[in-house]
Amino acid sequence: MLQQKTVMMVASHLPDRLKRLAKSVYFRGNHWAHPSLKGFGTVQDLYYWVADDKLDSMLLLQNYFSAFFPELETGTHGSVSLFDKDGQLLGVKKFTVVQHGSTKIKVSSMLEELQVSSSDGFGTLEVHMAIPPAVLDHIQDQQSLYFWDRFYMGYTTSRGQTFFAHGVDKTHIYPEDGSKPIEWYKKPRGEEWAPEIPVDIEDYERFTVVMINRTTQSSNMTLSLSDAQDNSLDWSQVVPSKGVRRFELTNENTQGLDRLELRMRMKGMASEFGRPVVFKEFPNGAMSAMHC
Amino acid sequence: MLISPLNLLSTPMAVLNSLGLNLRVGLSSEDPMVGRSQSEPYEVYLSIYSPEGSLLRRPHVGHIPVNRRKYFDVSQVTQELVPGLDHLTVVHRIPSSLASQMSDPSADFEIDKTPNYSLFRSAVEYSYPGGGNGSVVYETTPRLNDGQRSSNTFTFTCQTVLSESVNTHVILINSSVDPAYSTIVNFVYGLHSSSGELVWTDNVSVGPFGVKILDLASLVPAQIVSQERDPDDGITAFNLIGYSEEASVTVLLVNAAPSLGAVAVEHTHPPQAYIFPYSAGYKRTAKEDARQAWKSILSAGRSR
Repeated sequence: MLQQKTVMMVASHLPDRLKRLAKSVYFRGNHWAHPSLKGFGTVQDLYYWVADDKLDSMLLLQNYFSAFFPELETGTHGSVSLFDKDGQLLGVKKFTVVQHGSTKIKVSSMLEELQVSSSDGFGTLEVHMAIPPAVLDHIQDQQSLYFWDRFYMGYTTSRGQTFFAHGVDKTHIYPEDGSKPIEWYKKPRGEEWAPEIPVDIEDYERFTVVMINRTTQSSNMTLSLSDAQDNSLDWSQVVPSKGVRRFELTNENTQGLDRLELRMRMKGMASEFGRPVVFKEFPNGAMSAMHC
Repeated sequence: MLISPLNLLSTPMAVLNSLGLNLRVGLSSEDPMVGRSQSEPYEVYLSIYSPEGSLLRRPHVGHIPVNRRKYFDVSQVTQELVPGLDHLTVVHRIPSSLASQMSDPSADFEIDKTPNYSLFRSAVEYSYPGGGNGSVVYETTPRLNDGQRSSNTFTFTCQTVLSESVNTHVILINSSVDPAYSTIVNFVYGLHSSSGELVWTDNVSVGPFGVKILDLASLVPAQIVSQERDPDDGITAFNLIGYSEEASVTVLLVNAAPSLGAVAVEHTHPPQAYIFPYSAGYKRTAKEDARQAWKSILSAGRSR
């Protein structure tokens, strides 16, 4: 990580033209995004799911291949893998999606179908939509091309509200040759993130910070919440590989800090872009989510 | 080198008065990527445009000390100038050290090296009075519609849902880093059902430094919405595809449930963010090819 940061720091001081040259030398024939991106395939990420008495998770899986190649037959198939909060596989559901279409899957229904009784009511999931054959044929003139499925995870409340949060990072590389998925990240990187959003804690019934670990080892993550007087509170949790943990902030457990314009800092973030998604619950029952 | 201080760190934001939503923006004086750069204080300015896209005023709205977060109530500032209609505002952060050397923030300024402010985003928050809020972080994309290179839009998303309580509003923002920008955007879009049928196409123009709301519940015929409704949960969902040939448009999706006092907002990703080609130039090619293909399909009003 130190070596990578040093390289990035040096690169940031180079003029643009020299930067491009240095980059091509540094990667020397490897894919610029990741050395394991060879041939064709997709890159998939882990998303947070929740299914409890207040919230359900709704996948509206758009056939994004149709968006790029509308004149090709892009009907395809895929699977949703559901994991518990510790990253343990609960089950897999297969799906098909037609050209220009979408498939809706609710996690509560999937849990019922799989006959899984997840007492925790939350975890992670990964979608893998296969590249349609016509698209694969069409892109053969490229040396290598991977699709990064950056879908928007939907959430529905028991009161009838719907909202979405986009994906932020990468977890697995799925080569199209059928070989087994490759980890995007290996060890946790111990990154630190300072979300921009001010937290006016009295606006919320509950403010939940959700952290996913996309790496192959568990990571100790610490959420710090500070006020304008630099008073702060810390909460730490070990997040297992491919698992998820929630840091729940309320008026009660943040006593001792100002109520307005609190600032968060997440330490021990497992991957560079594995930043938090926050869920806001309001006294009137409204909810929303946002990636930081 | 000459820089425009107003364009160092900015975010275009739509004031959505017609939806009855209040707008705040949350700003940070820290680099979100900890360790990259040190925190510094900022001066905050707000460019307020009329519904027709004329710059009305650019007040200094506050100061953010080192290592702080601050909310700015945009609606409160703009209400007096534009009380009822939708319009554009742009929030700007200028490092206090720079601002102290300037008499006019809109004048170009000579500095040794442009600082790296990538990923410095603003938390744009909409709320119903007395209700919940929804927020999203984004920033002005580099060199947005600067006139120095071709700009266009191609976007797609699944975030369009209609139900008894929820309505999706597609927010189109036509902004620029160039104060002389004058491009009118024609945004062409289509909606596909889950079965892949193109059920609705339309186009809308957005003036320079303007915003437009596509209120899908009002635009899409009720019969289509009803046909596509899932009887299990009462939700009608569409896939949105849209493009513009004239300029880069910021596209946000506001999912509002006014009867529940609830609102949520999310942005869309550019198509380039969906692919990792070996040759980075293919990102532009893929986007351009797709946009051209959709131009043909949507102008013909056909789906397959």
